Amino acid sequence: MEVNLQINMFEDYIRLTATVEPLFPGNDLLITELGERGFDTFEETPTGVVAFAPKSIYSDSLIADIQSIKINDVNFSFNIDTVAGENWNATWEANFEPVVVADNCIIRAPFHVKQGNLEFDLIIEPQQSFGTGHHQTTRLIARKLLTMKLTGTTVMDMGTGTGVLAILAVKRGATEVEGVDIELNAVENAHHNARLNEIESINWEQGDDSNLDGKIFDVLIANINRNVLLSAMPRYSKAVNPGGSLLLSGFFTADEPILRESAEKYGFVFEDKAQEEDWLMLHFKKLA
Amino acid sequence: MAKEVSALIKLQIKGGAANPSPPIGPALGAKGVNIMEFCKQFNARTQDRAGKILPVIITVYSDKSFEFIIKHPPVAAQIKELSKVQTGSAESNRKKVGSITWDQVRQIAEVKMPDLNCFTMESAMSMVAGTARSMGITVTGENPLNK
Repeated sequence: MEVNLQINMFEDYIRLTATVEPLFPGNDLLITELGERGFDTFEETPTGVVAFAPKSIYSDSLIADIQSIKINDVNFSFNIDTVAGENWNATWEANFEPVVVADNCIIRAPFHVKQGNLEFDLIIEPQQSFGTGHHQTTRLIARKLLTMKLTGTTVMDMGTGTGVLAILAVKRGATEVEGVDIELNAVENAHHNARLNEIESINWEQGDDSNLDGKIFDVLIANINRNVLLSAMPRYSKAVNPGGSLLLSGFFTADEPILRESAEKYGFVFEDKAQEEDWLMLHFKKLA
Repeated sequence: MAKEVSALIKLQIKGGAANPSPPIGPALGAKGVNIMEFCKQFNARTQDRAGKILPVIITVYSDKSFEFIIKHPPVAAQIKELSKVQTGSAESNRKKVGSITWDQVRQIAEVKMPDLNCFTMESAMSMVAGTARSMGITVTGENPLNK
């Protein structure tokens, strides 16, 4: 077990605890004001509001700005403290079920007993990172990777999370694989998971679609969300070789038209798709 | 047999911005829910409302599964959007910083009615208009509530 990491990988948060009088419409109004100042989640209490924001937004001028908020007929006072980042998902992660992705592929934790002699026995120990196979979108892309020809290809996995898809790509024969995630804890975790699967060859980076600049791959995977995929499409287009594949997921069947329109605008042609419940995976080919 | 409810969690989260940090992380994590699953679902369902503050009620069951309902943005946020003011006025009675019409008050009341403890459209509209006044925003046109 790894303990006492010197640098906390999990982002710290600031917590603003406000007493508001009267609660209605005071809470609504204060939440609206704080939302405009970078707070992203709110909890109403019997005496007011507790608001949360990444510690990175904290500054003296932010405090002064909040103190200057005046709402007619509403009084509020507040204090701010820090909530240290930690792995809040640890309870679930300590005891989850393995996921059978296909006849020849399972995703399991180190604490699960190895089942039979599956060709793709993926070991994943998540740390508040996405990609354990419990979500439909992970399974949709994993199944696609199991059937595509990947031997000798270069693969990029955007929003890699636990790194599970990049790890599977290596096991399917891809020779140069990279994974990028915006969260530091995900990048560290992906590296850890690769080692659990005895893979050292994957290049992991913290970042976003700008990390693609100057790089090009045979296969680009992105299981993120609709808006991120739409805004990153121009960069995805430049980062896929002619004839190469773009695998997108993290959205619903209702989002298919807008994503197809965007991909086609940036030089991709629709190849095929797969669906599990309302979740969708789209596969495009880059025009030669 | 109906599943046993182990917790009801009420939060307000910006559309598309759910993440495993507080208060989502501790609230769901302590119940053994897979937080990453909640965040993926919430963010995917709110891509059309990214950045808007959305009240959400999460029901956690004893088997660690969950469901959630997303409500409409708070009345104050809707008024702000319609009146296009950036911040409330410090002296709302003297210096009006924006305005909305009674039609817009009705529009907000209609959208928000299911979430408000109001039995009639008139009382919902009165509540919306009151919130606007607290924000220093004038409601323009003939007041239909005076008819």
